[in-house]
Amino acid sequence: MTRSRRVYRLLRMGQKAVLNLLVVLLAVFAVFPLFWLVTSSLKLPAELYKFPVTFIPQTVSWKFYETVLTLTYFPRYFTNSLLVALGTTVATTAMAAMGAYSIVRYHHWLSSLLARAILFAYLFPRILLVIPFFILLLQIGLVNTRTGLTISHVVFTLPFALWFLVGYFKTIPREIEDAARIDGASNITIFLRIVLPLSRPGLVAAAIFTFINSWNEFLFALVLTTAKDVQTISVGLYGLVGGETMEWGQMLASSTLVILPVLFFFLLIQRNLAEGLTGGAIR
Amino acid sequence: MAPPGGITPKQNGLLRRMGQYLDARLGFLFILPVLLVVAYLLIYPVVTSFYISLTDRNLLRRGYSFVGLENYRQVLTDREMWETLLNTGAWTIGSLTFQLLLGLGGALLLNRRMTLLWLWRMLIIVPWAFPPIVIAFVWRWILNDLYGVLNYLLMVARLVDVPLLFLGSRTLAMPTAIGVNTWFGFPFFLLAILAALQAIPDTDYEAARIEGASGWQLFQHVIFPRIRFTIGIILVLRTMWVVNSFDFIFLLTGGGPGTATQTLPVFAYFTGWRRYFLGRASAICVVLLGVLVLSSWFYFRLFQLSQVEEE
Repeated sequence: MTRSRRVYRLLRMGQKAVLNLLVVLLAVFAVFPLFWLVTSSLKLPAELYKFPVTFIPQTVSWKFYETVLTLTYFPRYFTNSLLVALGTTVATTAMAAMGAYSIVRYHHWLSSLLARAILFAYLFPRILLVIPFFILLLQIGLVNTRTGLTISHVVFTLPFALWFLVGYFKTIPREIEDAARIDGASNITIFLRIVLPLSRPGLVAAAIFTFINSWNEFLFALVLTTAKDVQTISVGLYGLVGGETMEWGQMLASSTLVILPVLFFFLLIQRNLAEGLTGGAIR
Repeated sequence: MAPPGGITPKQNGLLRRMGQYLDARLGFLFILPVLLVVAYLLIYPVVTSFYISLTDRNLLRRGYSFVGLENYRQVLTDREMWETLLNTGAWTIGSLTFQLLLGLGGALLLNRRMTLLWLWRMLIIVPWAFPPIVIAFVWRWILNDLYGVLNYLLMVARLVDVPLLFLGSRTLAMPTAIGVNTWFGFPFFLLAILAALQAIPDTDYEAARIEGASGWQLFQHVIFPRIRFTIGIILVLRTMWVVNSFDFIFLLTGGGPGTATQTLPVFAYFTGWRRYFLGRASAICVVLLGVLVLSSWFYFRLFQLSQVEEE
């Protein structure tokens, strides 16, 4: 090999190494807060407030978790969030599935309108919606209830679930349904026994996405619930901030507990998300 | 195929006919819940909020009266409003610029024959899984001046002598918020652009290289035209999200210190729930909506995104 060729090769290898290093740095940047959150929450109180800082806990301690789970309102908040998120997921997914099926099979002209309507829904500031919603719930007497909060969550998770399922149902071939219809099956049977089972992956993805959105939601929970026994974790955690002293340890432990379900579901459908959300943009 | 359900011969007549009647109208029945939700819980409140912005509705008392454009006049002559508008502009432009740069750069980096692509993808998407409250808390902890790891690292690297008050100083607060928002938002850009990049066939690159195109020219003529549309769409969506975002700023800085990081949604919230002026808060929200509509229109012109209709 000539000398210049060898130099060229070395340069290329060096270049590749640098690029790989940059990728690693990017990944570290993305993941570091999660790493830091979990490791910090497992430290002893004394170690947490140490400066200089330690990256791996010298002793793993579940003290903060203990405090959070036994001495604070955290379990209550967690249950509330769970109930609201589950209620929202069931309601939204069911309505979105029915609506999407109706749009794809019966009212095709609506689907292009839907795409633009979704963009519109994104446009509207949630803060704009909060004020009349607050007044509306006040009139019905559903302020400070989990039901009221669930209804508000359904409103802003429905558009995306609908749009997503419309895209998904479009991929189910008509022929299967037509064949069943020739055999004398009613519309409802076709929907329940054929279409739904076939679209389980899509339904699951939509459900998980709805769940995550409801679980993470903050503004509506802040405005529509003020009583401690009804509040969700987002607001409950926020309450830990008040005052001069921040209970960092408890905050870290409870944050880890809050993020775990989301992370779990998230990694489950992360493939879906990475492809699904961008599919529309490139098509 | 036998009809569904087990209907006894006695109920057969009426129930069956009802079932058939409903079944024939399945298309209509199925879209009904969605329409009701959209009409009553979405359109009605939005229209109502426009109306509320024309009243002096207050959180403390029941009665209210129509005041026309008084709220708007008051809001648009308020010095705090203009400061808030400026903050919102800085917040939006700053966040989007860095999210785009980091996302684009990362996508270009990952757009090679990489062995562990699935791993990097999975790691990069992690910020997405964070609820706003956890993002705010974790970053506050990282940026803390007494116990924060970022200050620790900066001091170890001898970049600073004393810990920086990231979220507590008027000058640093907004850039810091933008930084955290960048951390949260760049995965979105990265994954979307990467997907678009991977759709470009190798032959395009080869053809350009045969014609002697350099790296930068490759980008200009092969890559950019293909991703222009994707970037446009993502920018529009993210702009809406960033301008509208309340949780982020409220939880990270509370609009502070003072009003240094106060953006429109946060300002609207404080007006309504700290100062109890619901009418005026609605007016601020309407202004916010106006800003969004304007910027969307601007985007659509800039990127010639009329193709979005095809979606």
